[in-house]
Amino acid sequence: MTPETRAFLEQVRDAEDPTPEDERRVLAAVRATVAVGAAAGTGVTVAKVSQWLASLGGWKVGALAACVAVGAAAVGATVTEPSNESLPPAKAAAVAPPPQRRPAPPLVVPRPTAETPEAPAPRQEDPARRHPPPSKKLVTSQSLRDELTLLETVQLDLKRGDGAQAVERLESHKTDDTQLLAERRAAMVLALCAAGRPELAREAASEFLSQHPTSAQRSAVERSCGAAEKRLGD
Amino acid sequence: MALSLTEPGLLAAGEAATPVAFETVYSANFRRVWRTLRRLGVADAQLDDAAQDVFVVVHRKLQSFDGRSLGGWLYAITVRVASDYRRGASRRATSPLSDSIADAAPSPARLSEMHESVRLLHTLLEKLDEKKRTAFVLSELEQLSVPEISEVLGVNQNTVYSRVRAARSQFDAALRRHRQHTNPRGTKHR
Repeated sequence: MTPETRAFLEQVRDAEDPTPEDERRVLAAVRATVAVGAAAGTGVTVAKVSQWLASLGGWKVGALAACVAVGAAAVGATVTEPSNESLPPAKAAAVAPPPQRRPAPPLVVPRPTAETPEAPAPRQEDPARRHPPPSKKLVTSQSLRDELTLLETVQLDLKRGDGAQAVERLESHKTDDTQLLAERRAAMVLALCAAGRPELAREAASEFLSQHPTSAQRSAVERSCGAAEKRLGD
Repeated sequence: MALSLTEPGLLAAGEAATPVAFETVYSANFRRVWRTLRRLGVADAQLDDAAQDVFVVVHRKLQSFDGRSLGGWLYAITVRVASDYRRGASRRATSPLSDSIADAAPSPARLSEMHESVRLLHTLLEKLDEKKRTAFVLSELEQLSVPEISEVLGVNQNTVYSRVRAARSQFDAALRRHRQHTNPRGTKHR
């Protein structure tokens, strides 16, 4: 290369670093995605995430609501908590969170030991990475915990295959004052599918997709029976 | 350049297996991953998602990863993710850069100059095909050695040499053409 080209490269080499805000934002999103995968596994539950939230009191929820998983997550993330407990990959579709602006407690992983570096996972294993605009609303940690608990219970219903119970539970807890509206609507779509009510699932999916077009749960809903039927009817 | 891809003292090769916080790896490498994704052609609008994908993989795989070459491993993930985004995304045809680089500029004049230089860099990188672009970014901007790039990309060193050489030549020529076009009298351009 010519000296001029080298000089040019020297000039631009360190010229486009991200901002600290970029770094914080992406880290929060990673945490949320990992939490979703963990919550969908067997070891880390939404309840644990809820405890997390409790311990973080006062934080804006927009970020941490992200940690909620409804239905099992497709993330497949294996999280090792400080106890070194490994979690198996998640199996079903998941609901992931809105963006995050604040850091959560560190997740510690053990020092690598394998000989061969692992290649990146296939794209389909890394869902739940779309993050809609953050929630502008502050909520009490109690109300958030209540919602997390509801969604956790719905998740268990769905894991048991009890869609009717999941639908009933979501119906009975309907409220306008929800911080996890997208998650609840996505859960309802999945619950209606599990309950064998595809027409209602289609309606719910349509409403969800129109009102939460950038939601992290979109892919889960699009894979559901409601969206599938919609495509057939198109 | 050593391929530790971390700040000095972090995760040095051959260290005994000890718990490492994901956050430590993240904070030591985020800037480089971000920058590399961008230079490999990930559009600004997708940088968050791409960086998130990289570090989700890192988080998931870190415990089972070979401790000797974290840098190479991270670059390999970054290159793979960038390639996925380049292929799958409907990238903006023009103006691939946002104004975010302004944050690092100390003065308006310097900022403007830097902004233009970075734009030019990306314009020139766009002229390279994906393989040459990747080799060039890793070699000339990330300053990895050929053996290191060979490890990252999983191709033999002769192939890397060939790609880097071709990319340099192409980049050189494109920059020269650009400067002749914008500065036909041949005045020094810095």
